[in-house]
Amino acid sequence: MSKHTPDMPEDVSVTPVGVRLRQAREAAGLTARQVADRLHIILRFVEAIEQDDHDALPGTVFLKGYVRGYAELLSLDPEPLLADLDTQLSMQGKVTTEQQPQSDRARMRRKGLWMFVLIVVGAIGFAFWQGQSGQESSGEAESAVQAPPAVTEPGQPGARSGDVMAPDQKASQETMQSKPDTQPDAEVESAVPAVEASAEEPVADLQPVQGETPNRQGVGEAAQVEATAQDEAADEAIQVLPVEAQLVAVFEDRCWFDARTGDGQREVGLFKAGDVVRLSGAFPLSVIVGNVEAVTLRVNDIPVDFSRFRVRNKRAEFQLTAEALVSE
Amino acid sequence: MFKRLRGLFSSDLSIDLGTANTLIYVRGRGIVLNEPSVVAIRNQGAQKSVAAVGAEAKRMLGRTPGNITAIRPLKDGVIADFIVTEKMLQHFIAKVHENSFITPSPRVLICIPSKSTQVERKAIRESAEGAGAREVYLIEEPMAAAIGAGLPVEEASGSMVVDIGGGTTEIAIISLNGIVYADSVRVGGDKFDEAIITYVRRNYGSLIGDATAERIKQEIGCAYEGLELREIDVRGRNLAEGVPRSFTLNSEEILEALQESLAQIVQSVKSALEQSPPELASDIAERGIVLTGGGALLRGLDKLLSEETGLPVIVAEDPLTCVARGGGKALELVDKKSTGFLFSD
Repeated sequence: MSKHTPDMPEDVSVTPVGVRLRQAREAAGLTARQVADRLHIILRFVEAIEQDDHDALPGTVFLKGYVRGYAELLSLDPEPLLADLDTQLSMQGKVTTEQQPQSDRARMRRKGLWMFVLIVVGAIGFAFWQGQSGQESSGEAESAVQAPPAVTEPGQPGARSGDVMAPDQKASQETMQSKPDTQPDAEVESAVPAVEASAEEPVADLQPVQGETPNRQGVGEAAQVEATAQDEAADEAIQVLPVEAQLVAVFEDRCWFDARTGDGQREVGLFKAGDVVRLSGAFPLSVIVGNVEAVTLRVNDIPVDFSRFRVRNKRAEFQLTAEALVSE
Repeated sequence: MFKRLRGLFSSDLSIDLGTANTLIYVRGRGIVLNEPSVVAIRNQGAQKSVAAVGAEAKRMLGRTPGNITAIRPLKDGVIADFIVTEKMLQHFIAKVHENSFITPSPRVLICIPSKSTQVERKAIRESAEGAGAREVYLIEEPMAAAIGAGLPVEEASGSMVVDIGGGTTEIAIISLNGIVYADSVRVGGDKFDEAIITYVRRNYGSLIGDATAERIKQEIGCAYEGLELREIDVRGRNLAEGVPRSFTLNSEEILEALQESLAQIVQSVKSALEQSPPELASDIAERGIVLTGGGALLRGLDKLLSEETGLPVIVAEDPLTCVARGGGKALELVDKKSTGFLFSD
């Protein structure tokens, strides 16, 4: 740090920067006023620098700039002085270590991220496996005894030819069904024996649990995370495009409207408040709306947001494909 | 959906998209990329492909065969070639996320000249979006420079910052997180280089390239007379004889060459001071002007401005990276929503 001044010890028990500058100034035969004039700094600041009174100065940037200018004026090398000044400032606690909490937060974020990745990858892999095992089991029913390799429960009934569910999905669903009396704070571990206990339930019961949502609370967190991951996987993997378009337009005011389906069905005309237009046919839909504020448009029960398209003077003209509709 | 997912694997970036250099600052990692804003394009018949970007492309500048053109897609701080800028950004963003196996989709903050028009801002925004950014924020360059230099921008006191970049010099007076006065002159490092080329051609009858002119400026360039005299040997093509010739330049000559460009900068700094409100002017007179940007490294520029204005002039620490670092700090404030200096649309 203070390698340019080898006669001084490493720590800053050495002469403070201000004192060194004052000594150099006096050696050069200059007054503080002269220095202030030459550097165009006000006299008060020169004195504050020499007395190392950093609170009287406007800020670290300015302090360093002044010291650099001062040193250059006295033909001193500014770098070692500035390095010492840094040490001095950090000892006074002026230089804040702003990086530390940031990196901590970043690390936390990264950790969460990897957890998320693992879950997503697991869910995608699972969805893939599920699709595969579904194919297998529908192909040859008698080989189903050996087909699911992950089935480990001893009480598991052997041949389940129509069963396309993976063991862990089953586990989570079985848990949901079989633990109606579980406490809300039930641990994941406590859910595990329940899986085995309920393993002999008929296959027909293993349907998605719609009416039993309160029971979901009782299931451990892991099952919920898995369930959401599955939903996501399902969203990504199996996105079914609608074949037929069913358009419903409800008018609240006078409006010109023209809609055509891909197979040539058409509704066109000037409609008034209260009118309802229904049209069904193939995608894509070509629509012209004369007054976007007067129409509520739904296609296959999905509301269409006009702001996605170019609206000029309340008039919108657009084509709606099945993909665009699904992505909405 | 996928953009947001990919965003989780991307770091927030602050980009100083400069005429000469592009710098990228990543939250928590500091400056991770500092490369010249140059793209080399290879023409294969009607097809164009990117041959090199950044430092590699800069080495090609002025040395390319017929089928490769090295382009600087930004001129005077704004986009001159939209598609090439997009390609360049794409390359840089990917480079910052080198160890990522998913195409990155980061949140990006880009610094723009304070006097840029709406059209220019839109061009920069769309370029960044085209390069894969999930969200784009814009910040005015002098504001970023002031934050990066460590000026107390949030205080109710005037701070003046002069950011001398490759294409433009931005002058601004800042108080309470806002820009009170801003001016942008199209004089910067590039103009200095041009001036040196013109000077050498007129006085030595020789032609030198941009890269040589830049080297001369960096090694012996100076803005104030009476500083240590330095010399440099350069080679250029003699216009009369048509063969390369070697000659020696000294810093006094470069000062003469730069005189006109420097006068423009001094003039705009003075007019900024003239037009600043009196309270802020007195704050500035007390503390001084802060210089940032690559131009601040020109020897004696602080001295010149100080003598011309009679105010203290300070060169910020690490002036080249001030804007990118300041942008990074601003990006950290984005989430807090308490910043008045960011434009998100």
